[in-house]
Amino acid sequence: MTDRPVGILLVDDHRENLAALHAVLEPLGERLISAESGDQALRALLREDIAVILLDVRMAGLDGLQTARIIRSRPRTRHIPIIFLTAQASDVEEIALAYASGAVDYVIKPFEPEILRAKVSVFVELSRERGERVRQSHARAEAEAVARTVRTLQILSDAALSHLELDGLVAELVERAGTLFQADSAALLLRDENAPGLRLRASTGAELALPDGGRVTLGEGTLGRLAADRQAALLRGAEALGAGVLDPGDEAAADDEATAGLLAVPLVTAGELLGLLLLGAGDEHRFDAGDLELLTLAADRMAIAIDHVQRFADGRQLVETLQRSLLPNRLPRHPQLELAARYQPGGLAPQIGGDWYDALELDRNRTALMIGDVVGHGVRAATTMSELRNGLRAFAVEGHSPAEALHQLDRVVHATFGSGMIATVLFLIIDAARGTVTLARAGHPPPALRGADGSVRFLDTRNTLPLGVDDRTAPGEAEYPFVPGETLLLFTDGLIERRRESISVGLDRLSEAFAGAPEGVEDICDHVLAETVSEQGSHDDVALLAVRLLPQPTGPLELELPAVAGSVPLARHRLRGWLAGNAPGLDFDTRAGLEVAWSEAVTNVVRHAYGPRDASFRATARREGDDVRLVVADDGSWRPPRGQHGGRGLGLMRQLCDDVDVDRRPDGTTVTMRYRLDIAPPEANRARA
Amino acid sequence: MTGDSQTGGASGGPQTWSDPDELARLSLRDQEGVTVAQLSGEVDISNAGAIAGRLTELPNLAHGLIVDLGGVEYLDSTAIALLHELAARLRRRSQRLIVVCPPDCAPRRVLELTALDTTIPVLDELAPAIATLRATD
Repeated sequence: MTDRPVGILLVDDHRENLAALHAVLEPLGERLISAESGDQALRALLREDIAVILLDVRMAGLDGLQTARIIRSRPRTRHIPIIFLTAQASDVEEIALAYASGAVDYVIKPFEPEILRAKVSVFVELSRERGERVRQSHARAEAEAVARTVRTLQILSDAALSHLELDGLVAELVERAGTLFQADSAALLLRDENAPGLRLRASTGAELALPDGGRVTLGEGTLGRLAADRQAALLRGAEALGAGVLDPGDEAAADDEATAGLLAVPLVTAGELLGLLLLGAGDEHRFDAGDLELLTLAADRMAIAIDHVQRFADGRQLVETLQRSLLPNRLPRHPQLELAARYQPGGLAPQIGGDWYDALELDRNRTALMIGDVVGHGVRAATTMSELRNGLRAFAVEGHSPAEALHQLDRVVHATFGSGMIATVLFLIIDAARGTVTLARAGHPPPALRGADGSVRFLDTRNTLPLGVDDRTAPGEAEYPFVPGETLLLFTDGLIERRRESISVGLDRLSEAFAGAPEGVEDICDHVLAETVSEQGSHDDVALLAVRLLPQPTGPLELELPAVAGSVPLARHRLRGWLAGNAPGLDFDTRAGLEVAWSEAVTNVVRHAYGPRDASFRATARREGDDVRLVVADDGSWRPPRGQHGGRGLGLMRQLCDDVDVDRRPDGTTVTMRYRLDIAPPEANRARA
Repeated sequence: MTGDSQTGGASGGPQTWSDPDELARLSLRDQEGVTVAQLSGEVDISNAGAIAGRLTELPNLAHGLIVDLGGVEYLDSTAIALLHELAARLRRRSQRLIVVCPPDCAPRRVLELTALDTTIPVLDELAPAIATLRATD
């Protein structure tokens, strides 16, 4: 290396790390300058001419990110590339942050000496080339041109920061480059993943007549040779036409073949060709040598940004695959339940989230659903999530109620991770036969319930603390009716939280989206995600689980319930669901009347709860032709209604049904009610009432 | 959203209450010197006792009480008994009970079938009910 050595600034608050960096980078033969803090680094930058900075992210005092921000804010140091050194492979978010603050690269510690050396030497090379170009440029250009350079680079760098997927980025870069250079047309070709050579990825303005429909083979034709040689060029007139780019049929070109200009700049990073940027003008004097130099500088920035996004996309795909492997690949099937789930990773960095969901069948009637969120990201959060999921599964299968299961899980969390490992969980058990949902929460948002009429409410419980806070108290538990036609939606807070917005706004938005969603659970998930997650994507992960209780298959309803007051609303809600499936289209009065008659019969059993404890009763509803037959049978002795109001229930039953029969026997009483459905002349029923 | 919660209080704002199963909600407020109890949801033997407790522990300096059933989706004979007992209790304190239930409201049919309206006034709307109670000295 015959060039004058350039300065490399090493910033780390541990001397042993600085020594290691020295040892690795010494062979490059450049000037190594050490700083043990962000402050020292900033002072060194005032004195020294630095080509590249290696910056530790975690430092006492000014940390790496803060230091980088200051470096970026100073005109003199703004363009110096920074390589961040980060300690944890799992700490991917930090890298995303580093990227957002304008870094050009990062290295994860412990680093491979060869890789670090290679990266640094690329930047050294880049700096040397750029220094040369800038010197030449300065020799010619006035102060105005320098200002333009800075502005152009800034505008293109901004574009690089605001995009995280390739198509959006290249479209934006082409658009901005075209505008900045007042080009009539702009196009970007990138390496083709499926074939050798370059392929058109984005274009704007007048259409460039590219050879072979936008394919350039390296080494062939003017463009192919420029790309292969990584050579930037300004082509004029016949040259440009010869490159096969400017359409000879183009109006400007048709007037005078010489009036055409083309800037062709290869995009190169770390010595590797990524693509080719083309700017075309109908006027051959639109572009000059200064434009070529400026575009060459800009192309360095663009190449780095494109390279980042390409790598980023690879990493993101890997992370998503890993995440999905931690979620159930199949949801349980239950004849009466329709289940659907979604997992959507957070919008920014490629990271493994701590969100999870699970569903398992406990027995013929009961299905357990769980959803949770472990604070933090990365492999550790995912591992914790996996442990919680397995633990909760075990407690559920053992037969614990939701509140008990969460309490047990909290003890495991304290024993395993100590306090401070924060996770939220919602656990619920759906009993399709009883038509109930029993739930308990540990700091997790309550599930939303959509009624058959489309109204949405949240099912709340009391005493809810996240896991890892206090394992002495069990969370509260609540049971709600869950009847056919109703849908439950379980979700993690990524669905309702947006920065600078209160949770209640998010809950309202969710309610609205859920209420307006189609009927099927798959459609519900898609609709709710589309309506609630903002266009930039949620900054957090989102997990979503929807379950709908399907209308009862036609057939009799058979209940066996304890003779307690709580069975009255339960039996009524079950009848409501059964009527929906077995006597569809029933008018409101008839349905309400049958509900009252049925509840009165059950209330009688409960009110006169007999003899030994744990008494139960049977209630059945069946269709017999046009008749609905409701039977409530207990094992106690019928007691005649007592008191002033005692006979009112039986009176209502007789008024609301066509036939009521009370069969009293020593070993129990059976009330049978028959109602003829309104298929015959509708007025008949009214008359009876 | 929380069951068995109470908000508001002596300051005059509405007091709301719901049973632990959230089957029914009760909201008490003072309107033009009359206590209005707005009941909604479903009332049966599982929550009637708790609702009665809330209604009878009212410190009642007013002429009487209005129970507004406008938001009730279900009630049965247990609720009818509750209203009769409430009326009797108020009567002993020389206070009146008026039930408000719009004609298209779900409980209306049960009120009629049990002939509640023959012993307790049932009005279609709240405003006349308030006027009626205020007119009684």
